[in-house]
Amino acid sequence: MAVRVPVRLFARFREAAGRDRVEVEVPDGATVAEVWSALTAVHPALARYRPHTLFAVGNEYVGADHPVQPGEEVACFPPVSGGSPCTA
Amino acid sequence: MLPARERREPVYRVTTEPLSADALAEAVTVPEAGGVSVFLGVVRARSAGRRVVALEYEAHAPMAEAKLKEIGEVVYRRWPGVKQVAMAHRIGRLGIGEASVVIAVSAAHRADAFEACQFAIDRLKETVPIWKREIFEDGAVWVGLQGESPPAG
Repeated sequence: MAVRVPVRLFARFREAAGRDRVEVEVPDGATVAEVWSALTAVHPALARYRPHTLFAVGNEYVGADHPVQPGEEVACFPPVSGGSPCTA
Repeated sequence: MLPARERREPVYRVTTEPLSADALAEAVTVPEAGGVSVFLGVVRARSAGRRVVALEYEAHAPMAEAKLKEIGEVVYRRWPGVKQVAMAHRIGRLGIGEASVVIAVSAAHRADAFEACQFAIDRLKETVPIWKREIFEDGAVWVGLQGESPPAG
């Protein structure tokens, strides 16, 4: 059975996709990695960022092997860069 | 570590409003404190030799506030002398000299306050889902990846 998973995108990822929320369809019990695959099938511009991508569900970081539970929203984003200006 | 009820309402905030170092210092100033350390991160006019016009910060706000709280809780565990922690991060467009982040830590003695404050800002930059974009006169760039073209894969 397929389920629809809401995905949120931030910063550079949001700009690359041209939107901050996407819904993807994946098999029931799919992992975050499968959500990412479905996402990049729709938004290929995101694919090249995979080595630098962080995933979160709710307020917690998760690994790509995290099985997405019904009702969970997956956030995908680049390395964080908050705080004061960096040293560069 | 004091029971939570003896502390003031903790401040872990992501906001579009201007930050006040005074307000956060006051938020952590409790009778048991002998020192308050405040770190203020401000927008610098140059980055890698280029003139910065502004910085734009974006956050996964609820997660960012949860991660700020986690940092505060680690501080309380690691520095028993720390009395109160407050952390606030601003998002949106900030001009040169405006504060992007304020961290205030009170402790019985100053060494704990200094150390915990430094720990908190270092950890914030590693774990809190906030991103910044440097706005130059002739363009803008997201900070956080090496260059615009990460390795394919």
